[in-house]
Amino acid sequence: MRNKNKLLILSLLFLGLLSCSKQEKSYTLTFDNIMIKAEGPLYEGANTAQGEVLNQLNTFAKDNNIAIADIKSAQLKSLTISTADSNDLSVYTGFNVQFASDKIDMIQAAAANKIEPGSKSVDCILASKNEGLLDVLKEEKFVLVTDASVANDTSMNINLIGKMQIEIKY
Amino acid sequence: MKLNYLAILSCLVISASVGIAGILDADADKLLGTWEPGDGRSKIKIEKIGTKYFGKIVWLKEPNDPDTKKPKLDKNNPDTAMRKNPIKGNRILKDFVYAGKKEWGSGTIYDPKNGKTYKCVINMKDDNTIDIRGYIGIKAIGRTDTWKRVVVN
Repeated sequence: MRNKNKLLILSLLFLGLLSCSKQEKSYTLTFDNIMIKAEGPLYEGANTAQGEVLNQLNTFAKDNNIAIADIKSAQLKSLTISTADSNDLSVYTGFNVQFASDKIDMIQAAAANKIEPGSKSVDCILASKNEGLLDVLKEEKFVLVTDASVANDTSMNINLIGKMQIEIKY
Repeated sequence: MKLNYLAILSCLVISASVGIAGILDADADKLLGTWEPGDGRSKIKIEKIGTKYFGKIVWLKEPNDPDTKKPKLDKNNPDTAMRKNPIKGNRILKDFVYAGKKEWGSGTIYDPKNGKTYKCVINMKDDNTIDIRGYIGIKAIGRTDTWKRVVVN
């Protein structure tokens, strides 16, 4: 009988704790129109282009009355690269995308190694791990470093648009 | 009169600071360029992104996998999603910061042969020679390779 009572009290306490704990929420930040550029000429192999991304986390936190410290994690959910002009992506053989900033170590974001002929955009394969991404998002600005590979030397410039979605949990 | 002295002194201090910063930048940027590791099997282009230095593979002596006859892939990458990335173009040197005295530190080097990343420090012996030391934990436990600048004629 005593044991049963103890079990009942413990269960009630556990349920009480569960009801008191905050439920985790998530929100998806969308970064559109990231202009990824590099001046030509481009050389056979990977050419480095950069696109600056401005902080969205502070605005989200302010608008939702959340402390930045309460945001627990960030995960890249999608990353698409498109042409910014009338050309298609046929000149490129692949993309390798990383997050970089002066204060945070570079993080692998995504890659695309197969680009369909005639396509004007490509959905990248996402890196499995996003360690440090939340720290990157806390920066005032960061850079989407995009290594764009071309098969042959060309005088063209890199002129791409990046779009990505990052899920944060808080 | 005292104000004039103060103004002149301030100008001198500012000029000296800007000058020193300029010299430091010029020294730091000596790392930029294309380098050939000791084994001569690859070439690495070092570039600057923001204030840090990064290096990627731009040439391989044997670019194709002998089994598949296709470009070598980063098949040892610890991230399985990234194993189809070609080794050529891979950014193997990351996040180097110029520490002064011809040394760049706080960076890492990735070895595609085993998929491991090591802490790394770069020392410039002369304008065309650098020592790259990859290490685990402390600098004493590591391996140094000497790279030569690839001079474009």
